[in-house]
Amino acid sequence: MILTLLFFCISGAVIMTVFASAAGRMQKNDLTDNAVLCAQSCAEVYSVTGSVEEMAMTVFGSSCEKVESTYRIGLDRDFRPSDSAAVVLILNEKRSDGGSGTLGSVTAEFIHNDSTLYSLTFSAYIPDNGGESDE
Amino acid sequence: MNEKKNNSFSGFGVGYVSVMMIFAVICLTILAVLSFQAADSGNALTERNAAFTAEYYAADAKAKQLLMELDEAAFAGHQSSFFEDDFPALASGYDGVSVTPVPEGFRVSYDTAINDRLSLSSEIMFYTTPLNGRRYDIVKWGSSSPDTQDSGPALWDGEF
Repeated sequence: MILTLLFFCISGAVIMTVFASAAGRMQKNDLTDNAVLCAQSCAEVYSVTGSVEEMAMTVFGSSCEKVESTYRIGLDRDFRPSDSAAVVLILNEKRSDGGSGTLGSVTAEFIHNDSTLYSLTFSAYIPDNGGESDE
Repeated sequence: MNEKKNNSFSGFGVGYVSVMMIFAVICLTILAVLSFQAADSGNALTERNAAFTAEYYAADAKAKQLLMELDEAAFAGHQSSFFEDDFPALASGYDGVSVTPVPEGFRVSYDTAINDRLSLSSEIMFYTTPLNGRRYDIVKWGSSSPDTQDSGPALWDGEF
């Protein structure tokens, strides 16, 4: 009887561990999927506007905190701006001026629990005198 | 007699409960394995989607870099007023860039590889005379595979 109970306790613990790791993995998949969609939205808006501030206003409806050339936005689990951030979006912009326009490149990094959830680099070319950048 | 009866009842009870618990453990194990497998396949799909998005925007960045260089060539051509001579010569110098003269200017097209199956096709119209300050318009900017391009299978045209 004791052996039987021991067997059930051990198998129960193993099963619970498998369930817990499956749930954790699904949660991480959901967060990554949302991060990919959010990064795509940022990329498409940035390719038209060429400005990180405008992009943040359009995508998140709020401005972002700027430190030197890095922008930071705190997001909740549904990727809406929040003070108690579950995910932190860090945007790093580099601009190179050419003779006829500016090529901007942004690296968006989504950080969750101090590790990178997803990172995407996208760019925009904004001509100086009004070449159409809509795609 | 009474003791014997109790023993046999107790023995049956333990066995029945054990069988039921083994059955429950087997069911739970199957469910746990299936849920882990579902999470694992979801993870593979998420990773593939994330990797494709990164590949697409890497190709998009390369195409935009080339667009900037072509626009610089167009800008320089307009400044020197030898656009019609200088621009096609400069644009044709880039790998994979084809330049077609049209009445309004030059239609420039090029493909940037996204991965081994897809490429980002870009088609830009550069104007001889800028239209409202615009030196170019993007005619096409999107992914395409060899299947979606013009080379279709040879079909019977109905004649022998």
